[in-house]
Amino acid sequence: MKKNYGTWYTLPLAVWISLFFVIPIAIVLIYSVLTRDYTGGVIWKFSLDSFSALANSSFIRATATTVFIALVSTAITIVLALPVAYYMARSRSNTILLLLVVVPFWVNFLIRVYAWMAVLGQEGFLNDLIRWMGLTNEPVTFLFNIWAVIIVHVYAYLPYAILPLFTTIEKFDFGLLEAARDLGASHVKSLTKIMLPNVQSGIITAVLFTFIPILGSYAIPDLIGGTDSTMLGTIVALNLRTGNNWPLASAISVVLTIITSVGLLLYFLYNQRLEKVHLQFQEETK
Amino acid sequence: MKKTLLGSLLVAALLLASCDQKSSTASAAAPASGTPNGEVNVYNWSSYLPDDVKADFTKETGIKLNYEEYDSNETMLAKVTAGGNYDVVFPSQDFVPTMINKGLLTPLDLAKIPNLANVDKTIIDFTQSFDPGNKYSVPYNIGATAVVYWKDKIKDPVESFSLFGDPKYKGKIVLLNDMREVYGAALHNLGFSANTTDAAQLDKATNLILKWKANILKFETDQIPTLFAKKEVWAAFVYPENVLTAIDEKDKDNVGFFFPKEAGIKYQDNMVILKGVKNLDNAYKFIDFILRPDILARIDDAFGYPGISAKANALRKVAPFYSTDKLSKHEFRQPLGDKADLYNKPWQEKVLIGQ
Repeated sequence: MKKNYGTWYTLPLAVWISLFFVIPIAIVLIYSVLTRDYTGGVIWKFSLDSFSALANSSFIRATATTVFIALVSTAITIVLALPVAYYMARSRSNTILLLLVVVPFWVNFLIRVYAWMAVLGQEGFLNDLIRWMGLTNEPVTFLFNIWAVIIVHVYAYLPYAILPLFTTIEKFDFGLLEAARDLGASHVKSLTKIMLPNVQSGIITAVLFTFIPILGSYAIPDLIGGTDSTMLGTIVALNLRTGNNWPLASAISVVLTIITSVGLLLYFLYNQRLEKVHLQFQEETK
Repeated sequence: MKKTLLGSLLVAALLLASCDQKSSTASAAAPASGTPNGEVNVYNWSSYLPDDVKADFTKETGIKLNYEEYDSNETMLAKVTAGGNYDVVFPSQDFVPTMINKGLLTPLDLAKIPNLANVDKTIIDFTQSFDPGNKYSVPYNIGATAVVYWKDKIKDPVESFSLFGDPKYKGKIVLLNDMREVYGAALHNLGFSANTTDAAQLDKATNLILKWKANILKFETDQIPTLFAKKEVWAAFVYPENVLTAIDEKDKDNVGFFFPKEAGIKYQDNMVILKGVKNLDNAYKFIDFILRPDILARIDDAFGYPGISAKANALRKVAPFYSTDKLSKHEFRQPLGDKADLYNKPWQEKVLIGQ
């Protein structure tokens, strides 16, 4: 009989994940229920102070702003990514297109954010354009507000939405669309009734890939945002640094983790249900 | 279906490698050769010591300089407490007592720092408030926030913090994103101490800051010189040399700056030696080297600092933007200890998150 080496094969990954994923999250969890040290760090004494500090209208507002930015950015990203992914999947030169989607990653993330500041700034490209079109003579401030933050998030996370959508749409049997057309469906109807339901898993993956990172975003609101767009990531950073309140920073992270976990849980439950329906369908058609 | 998710995860994981990184700057200076006299590990603020001065230190002393940078006192303290391998660090005045209390510092043998005699008496007097007798620290640099403005946009400004609330300049003012600096400005504008722990006074200051917030472009850290140079803002509350050294020669006459008549907060950064270091002698040599007038002159020229030594200032090639006696009315920020939330809470909950 052959020996089963499965455990050994997965060992490196298990060690990696526990060292760099499970343990850090455990530390964040533990820190969130410890007492703060006013000079930084924590005192090893149980305390729920940071969670009671979170139950306060300001933090609820900051959470709402953060979720709002993440939701709107995700929605716009998906709407933009779907046609791109569809076109890529149908195109014969999709390897080149795929490469083009990945090219921005060759440039450092921060540099690309600064590039947006050059585009949206008062001396920037957009202002030059509207001045050239004669719309205004006074420079317009596009930066430093919540919409600028949303625009740059959409830009930054668009590839993360396009890639999973592309991989799903590519596997889609386009013959089904022709069949739908043959049976009298309009072009739009065949796309919305046949294709969209079939690529649902890709859409959900794309939503997760954009929504979750935007929820914890820090650099973009810091650089692009103004006085109306303080996100939770900024508050976390502040409390780790000059605020010297590590338990509060941890508690906010815990809240963010819970929001994302609930989202993931819903996704997996939905996924299971979908698979069950699928199996049933196969049984019936046999 | 599961395959899709996994496949995409893999792609994303690969891509994530190139993602989201701010701060964290480290640089190794000094050549490896010509260092027969061991090494010294220095941990300093970013852009706080010119490269040629680092190189000359090694050339003259034969000591290898291992140099690393931080961007906030808190980062420095966290790394030092976590056992970072440093000999000399540069805490601000409010962190010196904290580090003394935590037992992190070596008491200095001032006989090994003869160049301390070059430092002005006013500066040494300043240090007595946080480290009497310079038992643990010697000064490195001093400065304060000021208001820098474009003369063609803001004509004859009232030299006061009240400028921040002037509706004539709505959306054209940027304030340093630093809680204590902004509170210091508001408290001084109201005639209170910048280190107050009186809740009623802080309430008034918070309301004043909220009024300013409605009038300014944003609270900002790194981009103030760029925003100012591009005239996206007309006035900036900032460490003036950061902006003044970034202005084009042709614009120099059009840019002015003032210390508001109410004063505000000043800072002083200091050199300390950590406890139990391996390179104690080299640490002393490094500190003494920095305090040599010709070296101080080069450092201050490079960054436009007011300077801490008249002897050094006499050797400078560039005139300082202002002299340190302008700062006599300014207050040092003092550590707030367990009163910190009197500032932290309204700053985060009302000013940053806001109505």
